[in-house]
Amino acid sequence: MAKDLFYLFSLNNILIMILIFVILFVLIISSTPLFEKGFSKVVYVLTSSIWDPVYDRYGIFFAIGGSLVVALIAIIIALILSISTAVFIVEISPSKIRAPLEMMVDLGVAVPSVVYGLWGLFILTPFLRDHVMKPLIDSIPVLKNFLGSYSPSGTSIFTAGVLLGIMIYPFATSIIREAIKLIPFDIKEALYSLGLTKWEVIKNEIFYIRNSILAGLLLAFGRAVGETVAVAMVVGNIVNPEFYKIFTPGYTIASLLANQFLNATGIMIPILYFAALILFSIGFIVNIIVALYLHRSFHR
Amino acid sequence: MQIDKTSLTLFIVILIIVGVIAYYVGASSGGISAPSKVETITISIPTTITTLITYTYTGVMTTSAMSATPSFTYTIPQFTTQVTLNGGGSSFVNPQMQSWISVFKDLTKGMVIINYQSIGSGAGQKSFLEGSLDFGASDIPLTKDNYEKVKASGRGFIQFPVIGGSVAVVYNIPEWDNQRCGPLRLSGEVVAKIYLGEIEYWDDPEIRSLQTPECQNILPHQKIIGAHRSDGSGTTALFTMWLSKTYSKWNQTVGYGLVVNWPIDQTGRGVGGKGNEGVTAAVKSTKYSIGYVEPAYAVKEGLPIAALRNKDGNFVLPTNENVIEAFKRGAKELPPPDQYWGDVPLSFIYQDGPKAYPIAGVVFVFVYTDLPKDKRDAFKAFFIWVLTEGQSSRYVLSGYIPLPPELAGKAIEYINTYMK
Repeated sequence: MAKDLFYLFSLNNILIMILIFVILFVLIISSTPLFEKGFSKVVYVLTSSIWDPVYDRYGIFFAIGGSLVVALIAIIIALILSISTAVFIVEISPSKIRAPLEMMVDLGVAVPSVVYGLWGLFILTPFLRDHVMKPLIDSIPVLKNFLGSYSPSGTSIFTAGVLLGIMIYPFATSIIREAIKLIPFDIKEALYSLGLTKWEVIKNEIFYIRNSILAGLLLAFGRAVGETVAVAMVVGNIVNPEFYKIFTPGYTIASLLANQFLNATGIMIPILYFAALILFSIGFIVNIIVALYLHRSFHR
Repeated sequence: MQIDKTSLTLFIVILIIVGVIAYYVGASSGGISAPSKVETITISIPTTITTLITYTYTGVMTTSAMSATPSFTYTIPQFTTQVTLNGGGSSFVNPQMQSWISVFKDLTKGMVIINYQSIGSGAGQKSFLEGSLDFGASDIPLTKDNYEKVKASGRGFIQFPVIGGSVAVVYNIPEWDNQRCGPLRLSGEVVAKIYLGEIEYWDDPEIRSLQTPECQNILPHQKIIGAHRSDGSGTTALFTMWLSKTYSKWNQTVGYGLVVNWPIDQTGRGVGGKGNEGVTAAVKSTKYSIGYVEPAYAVKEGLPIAALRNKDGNFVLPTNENVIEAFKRGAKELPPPDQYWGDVPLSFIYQDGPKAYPIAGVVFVFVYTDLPKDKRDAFKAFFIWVLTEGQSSRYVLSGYIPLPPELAGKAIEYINTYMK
């Protein structure tokens, strides 16, 4: 009998699906006051960059752009950090310290994001300002036009991206690490038998597990684009239409929600729900793209 | 992952070494300060007070038509069954509210239990409106929208102030010598122009002309960085009300509210901080910046507080005395508690009076008058206690400013008249 009840485990799947649809439903219902104002109003909110509760004028383009730029920077940093860490742990480090190293990297996941945020605000932010942004802008003034002049306090989209990159890299590292471990020994032997050096073998291994890396980064992206507390502390929280100038302060959708939701009134509430809906959609679209890519590459 | 004993030991040893090194590196560079001594304040309550509290106001009730008695005596009723009141809203008032609640719980021998959730002023108003909380607290009175909804519901309601606070303008100018020149002097018009981006440098003639003659030349030729709150807050509301009242161009272009569209952000010289601690950190770590916070945060972090020009032309600091002076003047204009109070905060801002500090505000509590009887009794008992004994220096935490009898008396009068 007990065996037959095994199907109950599949209920979890259905519950998760229902939950996601309920969330989506709530977001859409809660933003209907905005939809009722007409299509042109929705387009205006999506494409303009203004946050003026006194005159009830809102546009969330700056936050959408900020979210994407911050997530992109975080992904790039996490990619570099996680691949090198995973390769070092599995292939290079002496076996004695391998387990402790793995534990230490995994500990990075257990640190609460508010602690990352405080560390980012008091240590990382001044460091990046004095040792990365300031020297870069001072030595190559032309960069000011693309990156923006660094903010005097150091909080910026770039800082948020770097902090997020550090926050999410343990996720990506554990997935990539396990993937490297799973490479069949035959393949490694074959690579070495071709006379490749250790570095060339590692290069080939990374190419071999590229789908796992993508999956790891996808997980990391999910956290990066939705991370709230830590980002709200270091991103600067300023309405910045030129969010591509990464050295200037900006907003992400999540930090906008964190900052504005508690005291929201009137039309601001549906607009914040709408922003959350956009955030949800971004995550959804990225997941679909990656899933399609993985599907294609597995069936080639 | 397989863990053998050696690697686990190694891991722990590495962790301890890293921890010790990090502690000493951090401590020597000043990055991590040693944990400060935590002072526990215990308020002991004499047992006699639980049976009878009498508090006398003179000169308050004479102005009211409610009662002929010139003084006011209130006895906390004996609660025989346990009553639970749920309230929530303003996060500013939260520490003070929790302190009052715990004292009051002891006073009623645990019979009145009040839960106050610090959910923010906007959420406080909304929860009160929907009836999910018995009472709401907010840094601003009910907004026009919410007020109309309450009126439409047909239920009786009142609002009244419970405690005061103020906003300090803080600055970070390394060249400024506080010992010799005293606090920097600023006026509402100048601060408005700074946040509009019209005044760009600290040595602008308009700022210099406010200072004493011997200190006018200290101000450096440096760009002003303007820090402000990024989240919605009553602090921003009070600050922008002050700017609106003192500089008409600010009122026309920006206005006032929990969040405003800061013109200085467009110039690239704006910094947003989340919470008082965010703005304090921004001003502290950014040279040549200006910001506004609750005075307690400025004092805690050692930020200099500017003296602001009041309506009478004097430069004043946010001391208790100066802020209470503003409350006293504003109390005269308090409308009946069931009307729209949108302009009430403005009546405390930039008040006349030789000592009145120009940025002062109160926290408002809202309640429906048709609460169930036991809850209504508990509500009345709690807030009348808060507005009498609760305003004494013994119960008011630092960072809050007690209401003067003129204002507290009016609030008590409202509670007594409307919640019989």
